[in-house]
Amino acid sequence: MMDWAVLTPLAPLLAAALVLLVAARWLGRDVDRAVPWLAGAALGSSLLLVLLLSSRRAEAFGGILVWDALAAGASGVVLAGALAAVLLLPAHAERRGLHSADFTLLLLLAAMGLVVMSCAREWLTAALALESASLCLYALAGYDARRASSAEAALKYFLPGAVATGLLLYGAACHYGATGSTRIGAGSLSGPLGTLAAGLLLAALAFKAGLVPFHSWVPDVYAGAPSPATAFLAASVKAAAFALMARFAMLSLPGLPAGTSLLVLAALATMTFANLAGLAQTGLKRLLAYSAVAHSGYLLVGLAGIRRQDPVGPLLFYLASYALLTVGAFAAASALEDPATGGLEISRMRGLGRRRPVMSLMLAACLLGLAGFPPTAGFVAKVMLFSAAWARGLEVLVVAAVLNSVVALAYYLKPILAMFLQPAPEGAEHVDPPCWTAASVLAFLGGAGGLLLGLFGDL
Amino acid sequence: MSASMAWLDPVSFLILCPLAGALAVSLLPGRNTAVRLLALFFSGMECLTVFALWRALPHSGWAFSGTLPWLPSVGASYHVAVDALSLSLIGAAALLTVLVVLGSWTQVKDRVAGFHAWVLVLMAALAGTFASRDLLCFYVFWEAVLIPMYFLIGIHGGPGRLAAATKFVIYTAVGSLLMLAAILAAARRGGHWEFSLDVLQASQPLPGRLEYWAFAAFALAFAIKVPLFPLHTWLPQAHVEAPTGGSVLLAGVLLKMGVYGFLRIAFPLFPAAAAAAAPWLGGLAVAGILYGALMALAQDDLKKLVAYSSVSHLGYCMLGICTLRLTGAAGASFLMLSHAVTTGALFFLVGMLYERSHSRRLGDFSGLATKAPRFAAALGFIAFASAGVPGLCGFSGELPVLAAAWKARPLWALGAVLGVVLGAAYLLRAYQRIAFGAVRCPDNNFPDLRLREILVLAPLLLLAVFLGLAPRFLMAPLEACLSGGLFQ
Repeated sequence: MMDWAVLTPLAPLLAAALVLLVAARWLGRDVDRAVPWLAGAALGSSLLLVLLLSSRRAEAFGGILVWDALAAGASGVVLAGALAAVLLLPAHAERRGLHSADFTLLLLLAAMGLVVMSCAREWLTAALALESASLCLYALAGYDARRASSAEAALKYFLPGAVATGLLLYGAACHYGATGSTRIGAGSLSGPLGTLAAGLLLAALAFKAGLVPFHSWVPDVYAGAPSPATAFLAASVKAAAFALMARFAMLSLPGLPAGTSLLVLAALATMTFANLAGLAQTGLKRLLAYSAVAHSGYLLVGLAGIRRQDPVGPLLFYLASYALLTVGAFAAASALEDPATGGLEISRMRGLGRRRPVMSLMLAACLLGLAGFPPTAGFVAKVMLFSAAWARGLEVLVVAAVLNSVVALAYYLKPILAMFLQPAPEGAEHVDPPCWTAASVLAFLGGAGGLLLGLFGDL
Repeated sequence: MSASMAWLDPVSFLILCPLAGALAVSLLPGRNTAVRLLALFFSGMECLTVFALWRALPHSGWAFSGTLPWLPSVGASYHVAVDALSLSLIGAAALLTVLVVLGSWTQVKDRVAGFHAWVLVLMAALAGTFASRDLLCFYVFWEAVLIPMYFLIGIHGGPGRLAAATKFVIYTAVGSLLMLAAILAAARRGGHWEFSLDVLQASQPLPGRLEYWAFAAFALAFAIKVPLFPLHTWLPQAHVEAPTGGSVLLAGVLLKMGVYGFLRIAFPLFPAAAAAAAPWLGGLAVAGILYGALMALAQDDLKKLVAYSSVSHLGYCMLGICTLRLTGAAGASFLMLSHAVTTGALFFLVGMLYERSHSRRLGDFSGLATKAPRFAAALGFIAFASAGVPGLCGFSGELPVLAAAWKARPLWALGAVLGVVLGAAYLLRAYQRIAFGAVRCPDNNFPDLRLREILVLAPLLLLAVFLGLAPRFLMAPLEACLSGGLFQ
């Protein structure tokens, strides 16, 4: 039976996008000041609808789109990430002289695509949603085109992205060949063609989620894209990609003998490589980018061996807490970044703890949360995810993930060490950019919210 | 506790009181006297609460328990309670915190609010560690101890503080994250999760090899914290770089977390693995006793000497447990508390020495007994207590450990006795150099102990005498709460 409930969260986004499209043409840059309010209201009401509908179960278009706990949770993270990007936008646009109406329009359209992707249960729908979101995302990454790093980010995101789309479509075709349907979970994937389909589809999603060995775009794009776009990429795109991957892993992979080992290998490679590479970083944004890749690896630990009837709660809790902490950390990084280059070298952060005590404390709290330090949300999320994996018999993978957390702790400590333990370098007079309210709010949400979520999130 | 406090159980109060103090203190940056007084108030409250609870503590078993739901989806909860051992360790932490606040009155001048906030957070985390009755809750507090200690060493420490703080965190994190995996292993019972220590201790041990693996991971985490030879290499560096207050709490209480973990978690949860590993751990403990003592004998830096003496003394604690005898375990527990008293006092004295002369080198001092008789007397007294002279606290703990070791394996006892001799040698050597001979010290200026410093040292000196003369006061409740299980 057709149930329009699935589509209702999209309605405010579409309406706001249409208004923006028209208004921006007619009124030019005058609308810039009203844009964040409009987009914020649209995203907020959409988020509210998701919350209201979170316990609803529905299908639309003959089961092509589904609304379940996974779709609701991932959509919530997508929309919250978009909201964070909208919050960060005005100050960033002002500093860089960017036109915020177009940026917001692209953001809303991308968010719509990602929400559809979280609900998709059919590969062609998923491909369409992913592609419509990706086209906006390429533009968002390169939005600050006068800055070479932003243009570079767009290109580096576009090229692997185009390959990923090709893989996705080819994988969907193989899926059809193996099972006679493009529906996720229809028929069992088996035999060489099924394995090929699974491999291609997983590879395509691995590009989007930033999994090793398809991760090489992540650091450049995260560091080069405008900060609001980075926050959106890190939180929302990852949530949608993992929702689709989780659906695939739960519905199709249990029938495939190689499915679990594929995910286990990808998890091991992603965690280990990203954490070792993270050790070598000197810039905060690149460090956070490698941390984002490493967290994709931890999320895969939660996906490996998952079955249809397993609860998705641990995965969603992990996605939500990761998004909260990562957006908080990126918000702090964007507030502290060098206005000229958009970068933030860790060596420049020396002594920040004394100059900006609250912001530094919040950034430190976000980083400790990402490191999985108790009792933050990052810790609770890891316990939930890893204990579920342990219960599925993946003890060795959990031990590997835990060992990885030790390595990760070493690089998460680097910015904290610079901020609090090292004095500001003498001679070089540092002028810290003024802190933005929105960035402070987000950093505070990440730091303090992460702590509260860790203490009370499971109650 | 009055009826109005019914919503807050007394053990949670022990955790929340210092946290509230930390919050209050951190809201007053720059107002140093107010900060010190507030910190003194909150840590004093903590002390008084511990004292009140001690008087009301039942003869054996866990008391004053408090629970709150925390992670129902994996079955972990916040559950705290105390028995004689954990309450006495919390008491040691509380007393040392008061003295640290008092002792750093003139020593810490920079970022005073931050220092006291971290000391109070550390106190709260320690109380939580010693009181947790849920494995995950224990893990949270265990890890939480790292953060304040990291900042205490890293911000307020000496010149090499960055390396020392990082080494401390990474070293301990390696152990404790593996412990997290072991916690999952230990808590997986027949298709569901069980994190409650009371339930886990009463249920069947883990099957087959899994018990040994889980014990090994726990033992690694605890052995790093103790630190058991050869995992001790982080300790001297951390001690040398830490501020006096940090060293006092590090040696006085933090190291006991490891021994406590062995006693309360690793041994009771994995009895077969513990019994199999005890000979090896005991051998390492004896090696640590001798190695720590020999290293202490070779030091010229007084702080490093005290740090290595901690390695040696914690070796006795581990040895006592590894005898798998009640007398040994109770002696080890007693020794933990007596070591908190003596090493606390020793680190305070080293801090006072350094504050006066900016040197800790033995070669820079002599004849202080004439120049500063009160200082020299206190140092001598505490050196005797630490060396295990009868009638003082060290002896009362070492004797049962040595007796139990003799019954378990005479060779261990011989090694440990040799350690006692070496202990006397390094302490007396240091004391003799500093106190006797021609008067010599840097700047030729060494004022004697002031009233505040006497107030810092007096409780520890009095405790050293009291515990030496009346060991049963502590030993009896410790034996009562330790008996059972492996320790018959």
